[in-house]
Amino acid sequence: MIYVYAVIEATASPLDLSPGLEDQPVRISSESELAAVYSVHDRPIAATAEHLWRHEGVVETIMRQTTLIPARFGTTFADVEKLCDKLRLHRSKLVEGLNRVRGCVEIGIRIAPPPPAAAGRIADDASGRAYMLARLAEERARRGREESATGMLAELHELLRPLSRERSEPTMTHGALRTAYLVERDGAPALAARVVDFANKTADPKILCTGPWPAYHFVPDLSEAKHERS
Amino acid sequence: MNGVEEKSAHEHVTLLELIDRLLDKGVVLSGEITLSVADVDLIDLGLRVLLTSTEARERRRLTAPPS
Repeated sequence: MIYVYAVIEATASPLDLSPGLEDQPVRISSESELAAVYSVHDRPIAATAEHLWRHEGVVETIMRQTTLIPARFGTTFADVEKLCDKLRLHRSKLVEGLNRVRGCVEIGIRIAPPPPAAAGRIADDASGRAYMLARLAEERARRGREESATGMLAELHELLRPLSRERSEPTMTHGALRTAYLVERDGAPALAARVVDFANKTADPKILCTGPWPAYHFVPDLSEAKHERS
Repeated sequence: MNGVEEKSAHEHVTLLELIDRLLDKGVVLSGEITLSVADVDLIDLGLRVLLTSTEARERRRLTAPPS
């Protein structure tokens, strides 16, 4: 089984690659101007923290040396030939994707509204009206926290826009408003510093900045390119 | 929050960020992601991996164009 970490340009200089999942050697196969970075395994890869970090480690090692499109964890093929078929099938989208993120990294922003105050337990014999009013208060508090985070992100975005190329669509997940900025590698520290400066002036909600990451949020969507042929 | 708790919270958030990227972002070359979950007790981490994976898969299923 072929496990894929990333797609790079075939013209990239020889890479210094770290060991892959299960300490397997990481290899490169080219197809036209594209190349895939992968390792070979004889069993499925489990979604464990160790494997996630190893996958990320391989991708970041490549990221430090050349432009790449990171593959989603768990991307596998039966053999190299089938992998190269996919590179051929999606060639122009992948080339376009590499051009989009060339020289860039991703910085993650997470704005976490303060956790809800401990809600009073609704008595078992409370009336239906009392129950509904309590739920309404909870819902209003939740929306208030989300609106606060959204307003703060809008304010922060005005500061980060000049330092970035693109921003991903903000989403509310795991109770936090999240987005990612595509920024030139050399500009990442300045963007991060601006986030920290902004966060230091803010008590709540909590603002966190992570990265630099490979450009996971800015990869091409190949689901719309199924019939593409070179 | 003491130093150890702060470090632990930081690692937890970083892991969440990693999970969100690796399981829900990144290019999908194969059209089908093969994941297996280790046959061990699902500690908080494992549960989150499984949960995120399931959520992401469900979202993809709901947004996929009809075949």
